[in-house]
Amino acid sequence: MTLHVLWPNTALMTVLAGAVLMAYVAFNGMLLVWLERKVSARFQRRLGPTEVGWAGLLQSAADVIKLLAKQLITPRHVDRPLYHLAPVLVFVPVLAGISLFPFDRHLQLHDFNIGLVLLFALAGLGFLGIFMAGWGSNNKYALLGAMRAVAQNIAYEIPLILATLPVVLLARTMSLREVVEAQHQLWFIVQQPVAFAIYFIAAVAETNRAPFDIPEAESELVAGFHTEYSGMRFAFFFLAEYTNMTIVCMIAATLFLGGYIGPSWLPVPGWVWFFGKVYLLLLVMMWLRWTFPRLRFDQLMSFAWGVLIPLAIVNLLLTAVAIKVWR
Amino acid sequence: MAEGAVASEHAQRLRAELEAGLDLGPRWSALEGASSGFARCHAVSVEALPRLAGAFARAGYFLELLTCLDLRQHEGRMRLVYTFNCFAALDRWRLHVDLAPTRPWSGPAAKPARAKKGAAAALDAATDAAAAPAAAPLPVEAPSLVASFPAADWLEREVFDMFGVRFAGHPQLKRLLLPEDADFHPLLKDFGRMDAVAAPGAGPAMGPGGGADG
Amino acid sequence: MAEIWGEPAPQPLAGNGDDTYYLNMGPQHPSMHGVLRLLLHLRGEEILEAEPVIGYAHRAHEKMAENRNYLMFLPNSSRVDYLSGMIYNLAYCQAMERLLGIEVPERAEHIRVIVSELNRISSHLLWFGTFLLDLGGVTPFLYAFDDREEILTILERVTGSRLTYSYGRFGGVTQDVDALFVEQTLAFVARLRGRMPDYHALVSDNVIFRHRCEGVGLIDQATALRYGVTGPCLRACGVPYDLRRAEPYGIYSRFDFEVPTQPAGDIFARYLVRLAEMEQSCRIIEQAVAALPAGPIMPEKQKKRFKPEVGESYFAVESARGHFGIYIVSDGSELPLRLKLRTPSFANLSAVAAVLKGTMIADTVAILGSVDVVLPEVDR
Repeated sequence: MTLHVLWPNTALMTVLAGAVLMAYVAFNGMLLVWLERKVSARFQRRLGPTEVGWAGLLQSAADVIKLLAKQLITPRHVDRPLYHLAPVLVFVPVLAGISLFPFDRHLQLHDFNIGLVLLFALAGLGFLGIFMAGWGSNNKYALLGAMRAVAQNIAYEIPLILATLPVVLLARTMSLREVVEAQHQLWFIVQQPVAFAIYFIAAVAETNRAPFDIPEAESELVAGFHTEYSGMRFAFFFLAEYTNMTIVCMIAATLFLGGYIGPSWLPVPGWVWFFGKVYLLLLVMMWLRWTFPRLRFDQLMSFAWGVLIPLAIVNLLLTAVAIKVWR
Repeated sequence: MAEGAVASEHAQRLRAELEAGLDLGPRWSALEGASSGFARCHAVSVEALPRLAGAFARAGYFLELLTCLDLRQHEGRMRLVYTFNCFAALDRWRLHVDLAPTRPWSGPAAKPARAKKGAAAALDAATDAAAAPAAAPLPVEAPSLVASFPAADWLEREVFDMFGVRFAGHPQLKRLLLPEDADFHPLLKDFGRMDAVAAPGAGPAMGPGGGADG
Repeated sequence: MAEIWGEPAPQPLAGNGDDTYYLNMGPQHPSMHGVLRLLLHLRGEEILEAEPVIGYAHRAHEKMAENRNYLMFLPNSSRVDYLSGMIYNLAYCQAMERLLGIEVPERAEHIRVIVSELNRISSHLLWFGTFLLDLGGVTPFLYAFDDREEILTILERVTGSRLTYSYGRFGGVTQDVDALFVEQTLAFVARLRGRMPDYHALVSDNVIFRHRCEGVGLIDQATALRYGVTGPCLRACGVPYDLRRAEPYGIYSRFDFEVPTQPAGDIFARYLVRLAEMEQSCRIIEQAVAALPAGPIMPEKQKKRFKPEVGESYFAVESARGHFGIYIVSDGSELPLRLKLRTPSFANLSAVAAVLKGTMIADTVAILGSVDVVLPEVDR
């Protein structure tokens, strides 16, 4: 990996940057858990965590310590290699994925010219881990959850990618940094509101969040694919889920909301804009979760295949025609 | 559900069907009046039961209650109590079906099990009952009403579970509430007691006399 | 798959070739409302057969009743269905009053109606919350519990307990209510009325909720009749059968209220019926509070020992879940010869097995939730 522009390209710096990113992922997970609890509490007329630290901010840290101290239980009937490998395989792609983003104009590990493709490839890898977890657990609920997860992933990956293609057409690049740079005049959400809506809905489904959280629907499948996991192994799934949420929101911010670009007359650094947009989107995802009941599996599928995908295709074609005509 | 007029027509047809050739002598003085608990009580024979149930089903009644009374100590028999009711109008029928038991009353349980408490006492009593020679074959049989009333499925299984009454023609007569491998029928009066606190002045089981039928 | 692990292969159950997937849902499962076990035969997500296995919460209430005198069974009665304990407790009292020929003072009758209806609302509110929880909506659950807490506080102040009330006595109630009770009750009624639009906005009009509920889990009139389904599930398929109206007990005949019905018979109809019933309960409470007379809450002469005459008594009330009946047979002694509890959930649950066939796993949870099964009441 090479650091873009800002830092000297040395192995040491790369390792350091990787460590920083890992720390960010862990910190971000804790922060989102705390935020989720606070947001849900406010939605439900409760207070949420208040005891540990200011406004309960250290509650997540306490939870991490608890999870670290927990015994790792391996049930007798599991398929050991798959069972042990799955949490790692779920976690590593999201870690790699988060390193691709331009957090600021000069703050990016490396700008791949096919950054977008790489991101979706990594996202697809994560679901391999989920299916391994479901299969390897040798538990009926876990297998059902994994089956749902795979079917859902396939169904929603398509509108997700189809919704990003108009942006690629408009920006004429797949490099994440160049996409952002193309939005100096106008954020792509203005030109592509439909694509953004499709993208965001599919992204919520892609990250197994309510109302699309059917792979781990606790009222149906107990805990879905991670039913048999405990302690830190469970925490890896949990962390991966929250990091995944962050990644899809980062993609949305990069592709549609101008990434690190903000009003230039405001003396605010670009990374503040970037993270501000990301966490705003995350807040919307939490808002959805604590408002809606869950869809049924077949309804979820027919929504993807019957509504989102046709709409995304039509939108893509219209965009292509429009570009051909007006450019 | 139909209107009241249709329902009362149903009721009249039903009554005619019931009265045709059945012993309909009132049994206990029913608590009459349009208040909760209203019922017409009749004794019917086991043989007539399926036909009656069919009549009730056709007339749009539902099976409200099925239970059993262990009257072997008092009258030397078991009694099934069926209650049919109607959604459209208050018209509750309670049918008493006496069954001749093949398993005689074996007296109150061997031990009142006062020394032990609760579940332990119940378990003791259960093993005693199982060990007793009189407990060998399950006693009595009645026709199943599942064909007319699917609701009878579980109700009959419960009666079998608690009293050991077998229902001929039941699709799968297995235990409902107790474990599948239980070998006792706890609501039989010779099963024994299972109370944690013995009632003051009460004997080991039912006192003598006081037959349920006046 | 089990052979890989050196275990005997499970015996195939009655299924549909090798594709059938067997799933034991429960007795420990987040949405089985207690300890119901559903043995599901699945093809993918579709349910070929659903067999409820019950008895995990069997506490032998009927056996206990035969082993203790009539008064000692009083605390048991509210534990049969812990969500409408007050209604059950008072139903047992009324059944015994019928058997013993005891007159209940007017004030006690009114108090009984008020606390029963409060109990019914609290049960419906709990149902509302847990049902939405089953559908994956967590927030309404806490809204409903927030409201329910008010009822529990009111009832706790009067009865001394929050869930398993032993408030009734043969002939009346244990404690009198005061002006604060009346004030709190009316304040709660006003509060609930204010919250109803919120509930409708948050849940009833939600498009996902509608999709999950409309046309799913149909219980039609014929099914209801054959299985003896009662309560809101019956009224949701268009039968206006409510024991408070059909067989008025206590002083219910004096109050002006409606029996809400819905024609569809699906989950959404059951949902609407229950929400409408809460409003009707509020109306009854208001009328009862307005008519609450002064006077004693227990009869003048009170007996310590109860020996009903030889005979049988059946008393049926409308609980939050439907037709609850108590059948008592007395042999003239201090202990009942037989005490049979006809619980609504028992019949309702037996009908569910027929309804579940051909639905999806997610529907199972929704249907069970909409029927409002309380397992301790089924198992007794």
